[in-house]
Amino acid sequence: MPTPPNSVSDAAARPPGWLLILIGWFIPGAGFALAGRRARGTVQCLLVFATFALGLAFHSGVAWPSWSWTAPDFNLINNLTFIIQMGAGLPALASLAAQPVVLGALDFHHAGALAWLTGVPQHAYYELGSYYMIVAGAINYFAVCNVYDRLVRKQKRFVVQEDGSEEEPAPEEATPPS
Amino acid sequence: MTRLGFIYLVSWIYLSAVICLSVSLNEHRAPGKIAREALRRWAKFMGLTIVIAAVVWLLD
Repeated sequence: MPTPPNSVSDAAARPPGWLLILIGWFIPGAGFALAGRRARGTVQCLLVFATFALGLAFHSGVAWPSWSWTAPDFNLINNLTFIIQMGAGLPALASLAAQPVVLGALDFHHAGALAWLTGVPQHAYYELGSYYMIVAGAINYFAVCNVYDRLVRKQKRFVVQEDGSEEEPAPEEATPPS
Repeated sequence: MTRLGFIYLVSWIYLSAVICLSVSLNEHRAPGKIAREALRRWAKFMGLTIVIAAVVWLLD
């Protein structure tokens, strides 16, 4: 029987769990890639970046919401949207950092060059693009939770997969011996 | 069909596929099983949303 490509035995060579989770959030897919799961990490990375890029193509962006419930522009949906969008990590941080409020505070004078990251709230596709970014953020949250379940907590059903015995048993093996 | 409507339809197909692939990727390790599970989930997702759309359309 061939040895599984990334068996539990390589766990000792992995970076610590908190680092995998942090890197996995910051750069989508990097948590798995650092643990030697390059194919899984690449697919996760492509899913998040492609979905987020489509959101940007629809003229959307990550906007800083109002957090004070007494403020006239407070909207709980905006707050929840922001929290989930931030799950995308680096692309979400880049979009947030390109907002005029942030660039103005940093005294950055080339804001025009980064305008494509901020989105156009008046655009007809802005809300649809926001939805793409929500999906990108949620996918990365799921991926980070999966890093924790598979590699840090070592949940029982994932340990079976990591041992390379995930495949369904053949029908004759599934039948209990008489 | 308007351009906006077409983009919403394509988004429905793309986003549901991405979500199903992501969930299946997290659940399994073998590539074949991931692909099968993603397709099965996606078919169910599409079917369910078509039913919901039909109900909404009939009640509209």
